[in-house]
Amino acid sequence: MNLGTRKILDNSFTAVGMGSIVVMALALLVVLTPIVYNGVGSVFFTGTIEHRTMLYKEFGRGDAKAIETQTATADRYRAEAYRMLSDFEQEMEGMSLEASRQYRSKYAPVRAAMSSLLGPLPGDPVPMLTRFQYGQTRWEKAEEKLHNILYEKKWDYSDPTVMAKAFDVPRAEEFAGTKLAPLFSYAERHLADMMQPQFTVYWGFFTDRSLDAHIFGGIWPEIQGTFFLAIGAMLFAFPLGVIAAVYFTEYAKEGFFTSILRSANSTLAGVPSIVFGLFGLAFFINTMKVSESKSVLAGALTLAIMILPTIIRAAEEAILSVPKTYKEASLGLGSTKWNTIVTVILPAALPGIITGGIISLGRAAGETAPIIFTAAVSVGSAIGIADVFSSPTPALSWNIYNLASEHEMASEIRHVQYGMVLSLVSIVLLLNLSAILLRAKISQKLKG
Amino acid sequence: MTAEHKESAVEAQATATRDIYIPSERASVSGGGRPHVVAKDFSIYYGDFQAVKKVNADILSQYVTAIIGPSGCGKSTFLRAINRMNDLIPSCHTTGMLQFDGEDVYGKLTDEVLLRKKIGMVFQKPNPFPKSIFDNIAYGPRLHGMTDRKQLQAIVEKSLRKAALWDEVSDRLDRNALGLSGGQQQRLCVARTLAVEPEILLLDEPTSALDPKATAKIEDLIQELRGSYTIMIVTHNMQQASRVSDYTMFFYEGELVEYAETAQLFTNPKDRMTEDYITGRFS
Amino acid sequence: MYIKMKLFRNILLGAAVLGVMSAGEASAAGKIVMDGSTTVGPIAKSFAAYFTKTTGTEVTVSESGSGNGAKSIINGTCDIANMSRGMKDKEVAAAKAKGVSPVEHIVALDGLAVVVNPGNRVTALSKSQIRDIYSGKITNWSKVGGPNAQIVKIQRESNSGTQDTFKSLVMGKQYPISKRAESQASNGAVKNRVSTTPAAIGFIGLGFVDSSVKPLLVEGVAPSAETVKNGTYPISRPLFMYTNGQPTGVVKQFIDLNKTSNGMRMISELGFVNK
Repeated sequence: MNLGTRKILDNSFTAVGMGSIVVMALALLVVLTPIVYNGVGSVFFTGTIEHRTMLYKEFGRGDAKAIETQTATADRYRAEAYRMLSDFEQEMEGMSLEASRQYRSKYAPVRAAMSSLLGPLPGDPVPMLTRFQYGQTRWEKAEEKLHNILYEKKWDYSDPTVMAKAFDVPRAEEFAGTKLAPLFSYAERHLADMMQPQFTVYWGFFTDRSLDAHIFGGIWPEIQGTFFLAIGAMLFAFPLGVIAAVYFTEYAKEGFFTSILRSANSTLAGVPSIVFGLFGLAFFINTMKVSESKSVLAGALTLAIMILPTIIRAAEEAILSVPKTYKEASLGLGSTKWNTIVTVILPAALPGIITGGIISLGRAAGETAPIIFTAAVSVGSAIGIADVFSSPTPALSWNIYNLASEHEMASEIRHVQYGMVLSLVSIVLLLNLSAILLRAKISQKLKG
Repeated sequence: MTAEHKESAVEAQATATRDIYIPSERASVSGGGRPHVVAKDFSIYYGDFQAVKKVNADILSQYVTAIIGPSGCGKSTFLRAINRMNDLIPSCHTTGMLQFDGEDVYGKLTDEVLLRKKIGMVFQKPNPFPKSIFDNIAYGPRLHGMTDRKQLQAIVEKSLRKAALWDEVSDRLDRNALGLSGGQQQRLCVARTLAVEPEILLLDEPTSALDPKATAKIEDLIQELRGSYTIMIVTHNMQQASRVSDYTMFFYEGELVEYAETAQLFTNPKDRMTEDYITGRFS
Repeated sequence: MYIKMKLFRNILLGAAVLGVMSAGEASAAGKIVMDGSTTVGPIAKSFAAYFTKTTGTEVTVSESGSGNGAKSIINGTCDIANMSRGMKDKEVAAAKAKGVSPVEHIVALDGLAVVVNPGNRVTALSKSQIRDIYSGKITNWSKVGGPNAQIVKIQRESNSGTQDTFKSLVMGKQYPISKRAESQASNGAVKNRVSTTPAAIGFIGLGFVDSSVKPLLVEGVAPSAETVKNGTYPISRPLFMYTNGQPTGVVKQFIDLNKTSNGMRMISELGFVNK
């Protein structure tokens, strides 16, 4: 191959390599940007007076005086809107039966939208469900609801051969000439006065319990559950994995049995996590009965089985990379094999073992499938450490899935879902970062 | 340079034509000279391959015995057999008899851990543990049950002094041993071995990874230790063998070709093969 | 060794901190574990929050489908199984074999709303039309008065009680659902799919209907609380909670919530129908 061809090959390979790295970075950016942006929005957002009232009533936090004055101001502006509603209701009483019926069916969505924006309207009974007891707690949601008040979404069915397109019709036109007509411009003008928006930092998102199935409140039970499960899995898997790795590298005689064990281990590392989930249900819960119901214990054991092969592999490689001369030196000094392993080989292999362990910890924290049947619930309180043997727990990974697909009001609480995603991603990143730092620190200590 | 080195340098000039060094007359060691390690028809196999063939030899106590020979001649294998380091290689087995102080090294009841405590070893590449200097030296004594800090400190100092390292490291015993230079590391390894108070010191090409200055220091150290320990040293370097040893064994293709006093072996080899080797006809 | 000890200590410390932080919320007066239907999920979750607030009893709710709920109660791993269908004979037999005697409690009624994208001009279908669509006989919306578009059929997975209800009330034994139908894992997922796919059709519990999808009139009757309650809406069903034996203690108290006025108000606020 001549010089020219070689150079072209080299350059094109560099280009392809750079290209794939750029593509990866972009993909990461595309995924992470909305997660971070929306996730941060669950803590930093423009909150309305409804948010502050809710926090004060449900969690006993906030400045009672400020809330009172703001509520008073908001109520003054709301009273005007309520007056328009009741005026129109009275007006309808006096209309002809036909007109009244027509207006009533148009009026119902307006009333519902108003109640969704401001909370229960005067005269309505206090709802049982917390979610209906307050109006919109976030400003951007309030604006969305305002849009629902101002416009009616209609569908253009004029062409029977194609799917209809949606278009908005201002309600002000539909109620022109009635006592409701001024409401729309009033609501648009005074939305901020009625909602008292204010920049809010809601740290409680991480430390509060959830309220009414995550519609209000925070995600502490999920965060805690994730930690319990991941750390629990580590408590089982880490010692077992290191012991197995020591066995493989130091004790096992090369042979048929060992190679079977090794390939079994490699195969296990590639088994889809849902299989471990079903195994956990069948073995730990239904057969072993480690707990009456799903529990943190059963989930942690299942996760432990799942990450065990990874830990074994990482530990094995770490042990194999310890220079043979250390072992010789120790044995030469009259050390026993066991003593050599404990005092020389394992400490020297520690950086590698810990890296493997913490990356597995991250995986255990992020997995959904293994805990669906063994540990995770969609609603539950934060459990005490004594309850881990018997109680199931909410966990970030599962509840993200739950909020994304199963929750009946999923589209109303996307910010909670994003907040959970950001928390989970941060936890996993933090764990990995600590692995890197810990490794660097220990390596430095070993190097002197 | 020590006196001895000057001496050998002078001799080197004198015998330059034969390209070997004539060792000086060496004083005998009082109380030494009994057979410490005895090999009788001792062979070592790797699987089917016979690496060391029916060696018969007495290694005398408190003297320095050098083992020379070309690469692959079995000299390291023989050395490592003495404290059973070859046990680490699964296919390795032995026949014949190897005795240490009259006890069968490969006997069924022999505890190789106790054996290695009495027969210390220093390896080709310096291999301190990734721990502090203090912990490196204290590793052996701790292993054998010493926990008292004062006693340990005493042992560490004594061992480092014996290894001629104390003056260089006494102010940084808590530093990581891997921060030392190669020569210092090797002397640390010697000190670490001495700390368990062995009877025999096996040195497996201890200077092959070191520069000349560090090599000289190790050689000085061997002279210091001569008379207190039975020392066996495998070396590629014939000058080194002639400088430091009292007796020399020449191995060729697994066989012990010649075993004699160093001065005699280098000046008046009995075997043609030995002569060819020490005059540099092959290596 | 030193490094290892320190790490170990840090881990222990972390666990201890977590433990202390959560110790205040440890369970007080027993606990109830619920598993099963995603349709009954909203009722179960709301009851759970209310029950914990009023009695202090911890309640956990999993939403893994009616089939899994049945399995859980059979294996004795939950106190209450939420199901959007009755237990099958096979399941009852399996329970009996394990010494479990499932007792059925109807907590609410639910209409199965057949929903399409709001952009679809179709507003009503008969049961036989729905059946023909799902069995694959009708494949284009134009056949039932809609635009010219290939129908995208959304169904639930086999574990779902909603799926069973739909099969028995609409399809009948002789009309299997076409293999072309796409499966989704929950009511929410079906709603989401229909709201984003113009030519889709799906079926979800009445409590999940909102403005993002359009419920169809079935046999000329709109799904609503009244039509479900008076039986005129043809695809309605009871929602169940199953216990092992007659419930006692807190479990009984919980099951009976649906008979209290507060419980009934929660059910209707969620869009379900009181029995």
